Amino acid sequence: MQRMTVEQADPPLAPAAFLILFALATGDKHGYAIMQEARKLSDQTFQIGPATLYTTIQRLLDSDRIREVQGPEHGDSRRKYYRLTGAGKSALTAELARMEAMVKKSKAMRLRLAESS
Amino acid sequence: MNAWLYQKFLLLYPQDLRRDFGAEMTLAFAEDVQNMGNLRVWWCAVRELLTVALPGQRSNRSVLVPALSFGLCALTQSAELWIGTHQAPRADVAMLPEQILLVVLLPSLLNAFVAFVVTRFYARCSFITLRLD
Repeated sequence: MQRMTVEQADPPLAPAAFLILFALATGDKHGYAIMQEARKLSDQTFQIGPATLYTTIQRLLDSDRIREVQGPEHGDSRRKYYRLTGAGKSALTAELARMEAMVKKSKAMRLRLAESS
Repeated sequence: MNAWLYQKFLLLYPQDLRRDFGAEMTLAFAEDVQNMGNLRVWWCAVRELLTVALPGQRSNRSVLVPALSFGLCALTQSAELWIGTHQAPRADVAMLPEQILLVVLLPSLLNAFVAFVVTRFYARCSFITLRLD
């Protein structure tokens, strides 16, 4: 029952949104740093460009999953920094839990397949 | 030069995205070009034009109509060029960059420009209606 409530509150995330939230889980970052971290996290398999990045950032800001914060004192003033909010953390946790459950299921299925062959 | 060109590219994106993040997008693009190289980053920018910019401009006819016009013209011209080069008496005739520019890109750009002008003109003259009452 509780799991159902969590799933209803946090629908599955799009790959770009998931990677951005994941990149911000390690601390505040500006756009380009998020882009680099997202590529690193996906082992360069997800090519995220500026348009995909900022369209997703716009959606995440609108849904209060991230917020804009003040950057470091001596940082580049042209850059905006972003931080994960409570809602963002819960969405990321729910997505990771969903992925973990899928991996467990796939492992179990593989075991069954191995048994049947 | 790259940043300047990308800034012009941004005109095809929805206005609110451009207003809120245009400067950051250009900055990220310029940094990406420095780190990843021209070709890879521009390819990504062209792909995003099709996957992000155009779907975001569904309601903006002055962007959507020229873009569709460009796409359709480029498609038909490319097919013509491909057939022309493959049906030529000399089978070793390859598609040269100049041919692609002259036969595909220039007519497509001209088509897109005409479509843009017509769409803008139509928008300005939309007060002319067939009100026969």
